[in-house]
Amino acid sequence: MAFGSWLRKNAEKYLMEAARDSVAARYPEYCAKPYREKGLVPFLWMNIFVPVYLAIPWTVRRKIILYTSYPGGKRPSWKKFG
Amino acid sequence: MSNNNLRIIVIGGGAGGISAASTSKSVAPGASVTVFTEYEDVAYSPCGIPFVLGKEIPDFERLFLQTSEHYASIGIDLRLRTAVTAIDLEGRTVSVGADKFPWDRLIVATGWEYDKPDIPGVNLEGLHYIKNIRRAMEFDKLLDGVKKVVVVAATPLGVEISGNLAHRGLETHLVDEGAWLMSDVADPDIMEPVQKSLEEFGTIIHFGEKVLEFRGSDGKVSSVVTTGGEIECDVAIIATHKKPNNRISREAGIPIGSTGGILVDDHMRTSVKDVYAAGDCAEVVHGVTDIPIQGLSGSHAYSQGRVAGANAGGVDRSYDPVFVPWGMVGGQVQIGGVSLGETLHKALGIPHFVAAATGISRARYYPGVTRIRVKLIVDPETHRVLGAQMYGGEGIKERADFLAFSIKRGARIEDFAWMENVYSPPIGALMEPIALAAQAGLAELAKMK
Repeated sequence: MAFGSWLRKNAEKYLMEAARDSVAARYPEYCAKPYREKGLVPFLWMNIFVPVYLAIPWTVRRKIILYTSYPGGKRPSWKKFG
Repeated sequence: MSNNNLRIIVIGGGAGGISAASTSKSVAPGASVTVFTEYEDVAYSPCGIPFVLGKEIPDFERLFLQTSEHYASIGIDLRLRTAVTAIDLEGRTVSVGADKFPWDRLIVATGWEYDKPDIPGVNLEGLHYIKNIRRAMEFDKLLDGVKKVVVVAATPLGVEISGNLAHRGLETHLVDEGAWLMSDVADPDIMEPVQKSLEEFGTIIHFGEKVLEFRGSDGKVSSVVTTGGEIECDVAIIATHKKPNNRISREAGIPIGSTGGILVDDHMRTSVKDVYAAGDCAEVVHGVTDIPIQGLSGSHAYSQGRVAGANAGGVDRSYDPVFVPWGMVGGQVQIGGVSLGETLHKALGIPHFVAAATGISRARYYPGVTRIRVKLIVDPETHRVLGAQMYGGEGIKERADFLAFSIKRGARIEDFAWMENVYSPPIGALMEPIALAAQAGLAELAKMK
């Protein structure tokens, strides 16, 4: 698996878990207890990667995401709306 | 080369492939257009399958939109049950076994496949994947002799199929690792009425349970083992995520992006000259975040196919980044949205605040009136609306389309708060729920100052 794909797959998984926990705390009446994997690897992603990722300003983070999303950071030509 | 002498080959007969072929033929009538599909049929709506299985739609024939003869009559060479086994980019051919077919323009529309769970028992008989209409017809007959079903994963398909099978009268269990339904795409406050509706239908929902194993006897599934216990069943339906079906493209050397989809530009061109891609096998750009995404709806695949087909036929057409209006029925509740919800904004760490309100779908005294919950996700700095999610008894699809159109054009919360709306007792309330949500958002903003 290419680095970009590996990073995206794991980042998505743990960022989603952290986000779901946060949203569940906001709407506890609508949420059950989710399944969570245990062990060192999930611990490191959740306790190091997620806080570091979220501490980076969104404008910077978006550039990192875009750079790692395309081979060599080269984005194909698309109209910009954002 | 004159566009009328082009040899255009399309791999895949789903929404993307068929619309690409039809568009190529219409813009370049003299071109030879050949569609290869490994399946027996083209031009049907796979999204309708859960509703036939649930007996909401009386038969599968209604899902067919066109016949194979129609495509022959407009000059498209349709090769059914013909799987392309390799693409040669240098020799500009595709292979079907030992036979090679030359192309001047190639459109890859190979669609998606299920992300099959890698657990014991996954090859047992009685595990079903909803995708192909012929297999669904066989499954429908099988269901007549079935009492208990386990549906794995509360994805949009998992939610649809659970409601429909419970409606059919089967004991239906829905198993998911998450804390609420469709927790990858939707928010818990939006999914709560869907959960209630499914439970009223009789669906038994197992939240927070991971599927560990399929157990069986005589090679046939008889139970599903989860972290919460063992659930007996006659059949299991795997409704896990869709992933791009890109094996032959990858092997050929067509560049693949980080989502696993083929990298394309806004003309659906890959970086290989004269090779295009469309539909679920390709990744496109998300309009709000600019991030590549993959795995959208049939209408996205259809539109992308039209763009790829036009460009392959020699006409210049482009495709915009997507804002992803979506909608569906879960149980008896309509849900929908645009772009990303609250959970995904949190996951990406995009600055936002939530503006939400509950309104009604018609005049409050008019029979059939239902509640509509609208939740807008707003950029606190620019006040632009970034996304939305909704539930209600009616009118969700139209609101999702309207919001997608408005968000694409940079609408701000103030625009929605003071929007004009239709008032007519049988079809629209005095106060539009979107406007109510936006007004609640403005009140939130005032508190933040």
